[in-house]
Amino acid sequence: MLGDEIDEEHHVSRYCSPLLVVNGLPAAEAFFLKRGEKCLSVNWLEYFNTQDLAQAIDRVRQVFIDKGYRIKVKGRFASFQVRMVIEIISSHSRMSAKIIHKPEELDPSHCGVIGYTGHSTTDKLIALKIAKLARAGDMYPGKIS
Amino acid sequence: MILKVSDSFPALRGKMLGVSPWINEHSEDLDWITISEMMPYANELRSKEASQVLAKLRIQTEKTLFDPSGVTRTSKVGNFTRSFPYSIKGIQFVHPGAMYNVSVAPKEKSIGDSHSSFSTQSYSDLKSNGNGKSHLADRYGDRLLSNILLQRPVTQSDIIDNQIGLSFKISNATHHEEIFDILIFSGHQSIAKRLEYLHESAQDDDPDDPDMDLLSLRKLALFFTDVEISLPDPGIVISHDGFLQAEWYSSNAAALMHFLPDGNIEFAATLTTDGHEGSQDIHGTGGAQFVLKAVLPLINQP
Repeated sequence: MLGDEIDEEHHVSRYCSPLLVVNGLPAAEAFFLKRGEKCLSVNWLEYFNTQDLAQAIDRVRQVFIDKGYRIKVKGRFASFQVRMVIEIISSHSRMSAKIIHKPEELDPSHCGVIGYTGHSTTDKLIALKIAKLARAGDMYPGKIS
Repeated sequence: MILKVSDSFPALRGKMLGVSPWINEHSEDLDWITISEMMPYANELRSKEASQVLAKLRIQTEKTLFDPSGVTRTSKVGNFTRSFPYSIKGIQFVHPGAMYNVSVAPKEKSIGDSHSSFSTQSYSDLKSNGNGKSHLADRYGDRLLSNILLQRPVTQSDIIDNQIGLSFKISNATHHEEIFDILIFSGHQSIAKRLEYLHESAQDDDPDDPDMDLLSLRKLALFFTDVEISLPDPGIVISHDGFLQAEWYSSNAAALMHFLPDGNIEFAATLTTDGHEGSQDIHGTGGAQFVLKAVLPLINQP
C-alpha cells in the first residue's frame, strides 16, 4: 500500500547495469541517486509471495521488461535485507531512514529508499557500505539469456 | 623530489628539473630515433648483451625518423587499430602490438661512462656498418646510440623524466584513447582495459547515460601513473555525472575515489576491525596526496 514502510526482515532488490557491476558485485555508484531522483528505486521482493527470492527476482525481471527497461544479461539484481540497509543509512544520515512502498501502475512492488540523497560524500559512504553488503549469493542475472 | 599529481608540467619543467628543451618537439637539441633504424646493423653486433637488448625491444621495422610534428601515426593496440597525433616524439619501443615513446638519454652520458661489457670495438663495428658507412652515428650521435644499446642503468632522473613525460602527455591528451594507450604503456593494462570497456559500452548500455568525462579521465590517469602511488587495481565505473570513480573492496574494508575534473577527489572508505564495535569510516574531498594518505591504510587491507 502506498506509503507503507517495508518490514525490516523483508528484502528489496536493486537492478545494477553491467557498467556498474565489478567482478559480479555492484559498485557503490549503483546506489547513488541520479539527478532528479528523490529516493533510490528498489523492488520489494516479499510482495510477490513467492517461495524464494530467486522467484521473486523473476517477477521483478518481468516487470522491468513490461516497463520497457533495458536490462542486460551482464546486469545484476542485488538483493538486500531491509534492516541492513536501514542500519547503514541511520548510522550516517540525519534524515529518517526507511524504505516505503511506492507502487506504480506497471510496477506494483516498487519502493523508495529514503534517508540519503547520494550527493554528498557522506552519501557516498552510505552507498559504499550498501554495496559492500552484497555477496555473490545475493546477486541474480539481469536478463536470462 | 616529490611529484604531486596536482603540479602542472610547466612549473616542474622550469623550476625543478631544468630540462625544458627535451619535451619540445621543435627543439633542435633533441635526438630522436626509431629502433627500426638499427635493425640493419643488428647482425653486426658482436655483443651478446646488445643482441639481447635488441631482442627484448622487439624491433619495429617500418618506422621512419623525424616524422613531421603533428603527424598521425597508427598503432595497433589489442584487437583494434587507432590513430592519433603524437605531440612528442621518441624512441619507439615496440611492445606486443603497441608502441611506446620514451625519452632519449641525456647527451652527457657517453659510452665511456657506461658500465657494460659491450666493447668499444663492437660499437665501432656497429657505427661503420661493414660498408664503411656511419650515417647512423653521424646522424644521431655516438652517445645516443650507445645509451640505447648499452642498457644504461635506469636512474632516478630517468624515472622522474618519464613521470613528467607521462604527466605531460596525459594532461595534453585530447582523446580518451590516447590516455588508454598511455595507461597500457605505463603498465596499467587492467585499468586501461576497464576504461576502454566503459568508454565503448556507456552509450550502448543506455543512451541517457553520460559519456566518460575527459577531464576526469585525465585526473584518474595522472593519479594511477604517479610513481609514488602503488595501489591494487580498482574497480572503475562511470558515475551518473560522467566522472570516473575507482572502488576497492576487501573482506573487511572498502573505499572509493570520485575523480572530479578540477583535480579534487571525493572519497569515502570504511574498515571493520575485529574486536572493535562498528566500523572506522572516513569521507571527504581533497587533493590526490591528501586523499591517498587518508584512504591508503584502508585500501591495503587483506
